[in-house]
Amino acid sequence: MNISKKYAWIMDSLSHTPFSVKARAMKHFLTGKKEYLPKKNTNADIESIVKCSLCPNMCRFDCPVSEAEKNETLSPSARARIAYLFEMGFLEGEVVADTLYSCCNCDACRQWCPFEFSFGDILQGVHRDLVEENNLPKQVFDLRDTIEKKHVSDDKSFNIVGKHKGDLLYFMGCTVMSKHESIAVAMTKIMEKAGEKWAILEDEWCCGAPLYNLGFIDDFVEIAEINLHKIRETGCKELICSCPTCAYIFKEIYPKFKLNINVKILHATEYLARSEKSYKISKEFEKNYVYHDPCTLVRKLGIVEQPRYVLNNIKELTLKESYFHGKDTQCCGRGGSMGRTHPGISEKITKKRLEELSKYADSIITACPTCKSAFSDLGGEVYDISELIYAGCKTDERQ
Amino acid sequence: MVSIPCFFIDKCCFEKTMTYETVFNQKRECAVPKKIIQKLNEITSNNVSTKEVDRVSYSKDYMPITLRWILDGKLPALPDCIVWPENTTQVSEILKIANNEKIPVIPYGDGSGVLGGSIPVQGGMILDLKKMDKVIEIDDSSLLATVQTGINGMNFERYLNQHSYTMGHIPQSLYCSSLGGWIACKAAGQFSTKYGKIEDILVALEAVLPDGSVIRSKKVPRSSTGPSVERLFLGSEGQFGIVTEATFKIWPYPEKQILESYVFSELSDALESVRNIMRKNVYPAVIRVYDKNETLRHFYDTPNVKDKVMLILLMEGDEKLVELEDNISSYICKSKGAKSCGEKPVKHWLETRFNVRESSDFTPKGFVFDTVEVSVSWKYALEFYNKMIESMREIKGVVVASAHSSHFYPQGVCFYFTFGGVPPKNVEPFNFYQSVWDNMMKTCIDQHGSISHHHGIGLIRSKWLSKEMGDRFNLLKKIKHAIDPNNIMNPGKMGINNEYQ
Ligand SMILES: Cc1cc2nc3c(=O)[nH]c(=O)nc-3n(C[C@H](O)[C@H](O)[C@H](O)COP(=O)(O)OP(=O)(O)OC[C@H]3O[C@@H](n4cnc5c(N)ncnc54)[C@H](O)[C@@H]3O)c2cc1C
Ligand code: SF4
Ligand code: SF4
Repeated sequence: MNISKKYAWIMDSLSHTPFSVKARAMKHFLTGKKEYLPKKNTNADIESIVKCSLCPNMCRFDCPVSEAEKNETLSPSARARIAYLFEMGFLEGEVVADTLYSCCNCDACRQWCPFEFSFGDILQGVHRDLVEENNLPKQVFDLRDTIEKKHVSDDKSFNIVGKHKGDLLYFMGCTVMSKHESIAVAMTKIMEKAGEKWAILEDEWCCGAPLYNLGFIDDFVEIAEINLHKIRETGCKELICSCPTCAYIFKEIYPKFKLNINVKILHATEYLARSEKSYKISKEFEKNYVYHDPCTLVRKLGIVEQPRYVLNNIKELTLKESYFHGKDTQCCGRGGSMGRTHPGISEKITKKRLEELSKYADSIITACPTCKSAFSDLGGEVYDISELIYAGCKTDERQ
Repeated sequence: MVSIPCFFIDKCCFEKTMTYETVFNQKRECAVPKKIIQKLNEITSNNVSTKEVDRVSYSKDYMPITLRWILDGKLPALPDCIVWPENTTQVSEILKIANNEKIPVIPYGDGSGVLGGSIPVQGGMILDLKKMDKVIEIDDSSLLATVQTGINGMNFERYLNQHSYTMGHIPQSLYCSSLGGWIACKAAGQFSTKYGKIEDILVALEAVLPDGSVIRSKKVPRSSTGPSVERLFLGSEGQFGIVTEATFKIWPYPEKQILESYVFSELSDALESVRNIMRKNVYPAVIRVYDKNETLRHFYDTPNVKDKVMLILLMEGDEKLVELEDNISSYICKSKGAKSCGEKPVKHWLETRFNVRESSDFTPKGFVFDTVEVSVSWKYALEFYNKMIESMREIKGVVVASAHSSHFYPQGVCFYFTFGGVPPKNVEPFNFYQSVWDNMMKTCIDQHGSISHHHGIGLIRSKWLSKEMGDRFNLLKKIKHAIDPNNIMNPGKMGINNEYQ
């Protein structure tokens, strides 16, 4: 774009202005904002925080946290203002930490933001500064401690028997390992059926996403280095994740710390779309289904069409779309570890989304184990896309 | 009686602005006694906060000078507590207590007001209405929607769109304002020329008076039953009580849209064209005229717009009707020498109309700015525009002085002025800001205009309201005193009790 054209209106305005004012205005234009920055070094992206705290809250209506609590403090712009006051040293970490950890990192804000900010991402740097102050909500410490001790964010509940070397490495993710054996079974059976040389890690650890988001960067890097080593040892060419957040963190965040996995990273839906010819659905699905787009899958990984391609190819299945679908989806409530750090807010968000989805169908299909947990914990009937496909295959094909 | 800390009044309320240091170091305690907080908690099932972080969040609305204050380390004010009622009964119980104890009550929607209307200048209780967000009824045959007023505008419009309706009220703050705020500030949306302003769209309301009593009006299209007293709440800015529910007109989602734009050599030609379109009783949903500076600012990508005036039109509704509107307006504009620029500029406006980024971009650079929307009849319109631009430029430090018009009537027009600049050396940002406002308000009254078209009075215009209203102002004060004798409702605003004069 032609910059001089873009600022022609300012030049036009200046042409009506006396010289002394013009000079002062230019000086401000070039040096203004330095006065408003903190003196100390921070991890936070202060310029974005300042912009956000001066914004009229244009994304507030779609922010699940803000909408669940109805408290101005939890609207994105007010949280930015509070982050700014913290970074400037006016408010203490103790006073603000709970507020600044209240975010699903769902990127709904980015849909409407004139700066395309993801407020969740902006908060990540603020979390690092809060960690340095060591004054965090107990639940945040607890989650870090669990991952440190157990190497996963929850208890592992089953074992999948499989090779530890192969072309396709299937990465289950913590939620599958603790709660959804059926997803792991479905995925590995589908790969088996497709004749893939698939593998699974001997001892799978957390991808590190919660540590990264909560601001425990040293712990994150430690776990990420170990994961990198483990993944490389399998000799895989592709890494397939059931959890969109694992896929995102491997793909986008590891490289920021110079931890390049150097294999192709796919989300399960991408793999299922690609290998669509290798499984045949013969079961009649009697119910109606609505597809829930997981926030990270659509907004951070941009995967909208693949799951629909897979589901629309199943002739026996009636698929409905919610009004809020694709990039306009609404969070399940568990993003950004909110299920662990703020269970009350998280549950309100889940309830709202579940009510919305229930208007369209009896059962929900999704493509994220955490979304599945959120809805099923509140009584929703919900399937991961891989479970549905596996269930739809002929009995003999399921052996 | 509770002694409420009075942070903010006197000759000029902003002179006593608190710095963060004073507030945070002194750990200013909540002045509302614990036993009252306990009662409020009982009424609302514990929806009350006295937390420092919440009190800071509710210390401001979107009055532009308060943006500068965020960066200068100043807080406009500090409420004592925040209360979130969920229904009309709770609002009534809360107001009874506040009235008995003489605690200021500040209604709070989404805090997008730009005049300081929801700043708690005398401390007290913020009554945040956001939990009152239920859609109560959609009456398809009568095209009416009844809703609690704390609902966010976009969330309500999206609800209507899902059910194939629109309210047609699309202010630029749609995403960040509430329906209660629209009524209280007498708002106007971008599609107002067709659908009307909020007073044309509002059919009935329910409100709670300061003594806790509840009034309701009927959901009928019109009645001749004495003055419509409930309409006092339109533009009341929280002075008379809380609007808790409202019934609005809705419309089936429009069948067709036509987008068209024209450039003119002079502002006078563009205004004259719109005046003639209005005279023909033709009402495009959107009409926007930009002066030469704003044409450059918004349409720099359109060829040959330098030194030109842009007019954009958006017609929507029944297919045949909008085609006719397009034909008539096209004929009128061309007869005034306009050149068509097609759909592109209108599409550009549609795509960018919610991209509010100037305040974030320019405030950190030390610029102080605001927008001032005023109205005037056609007879004085052009002279009015010129004098108002001059009045901004007269103040040393002003760099940007421009305007557009986006609300039109057969009788006149609303001008939406923007000023921006850098305060001269040794001049406090607020004093600079205040000087531009004062000069504009004075000019507006002298030049036959009305000082506000749709943002309202709040704090910054309060000292001008008596001049604007003349003898009617005494009547307004009497009405206020009759309804709210203890002056608990949003005190210190609209100049009604002489603060900030
Ligand atoms: C970017 C931006 C664009 C804007 N564009 C427009 C526009 O196009 N058109 C327009 O008209 N305005 C516009 N405004 C101004 C503002 O959005 C409106 O004045 C809006 O009506 C305020 O609504 P709110 O819910 O944010 O009210 P608040 O700011 O919370 O409150 C405003 C006033 O109303 C009172 N109030 C709020 N709710 C109630 C209630 N239920 N009962 C009684 N009193 C109540 C408050 O006490 C206060 O005095 C814009 C503002 C911004 C920041
Ligand atoms: S990432 Fe989601 S929860 Fe966080 S501020 Fe944005 S919209 Fe709100
Ligand atoms: S994220 Fe963007 S739209 Fe939301 S408050 Fe911040 S700047 Fe505004």
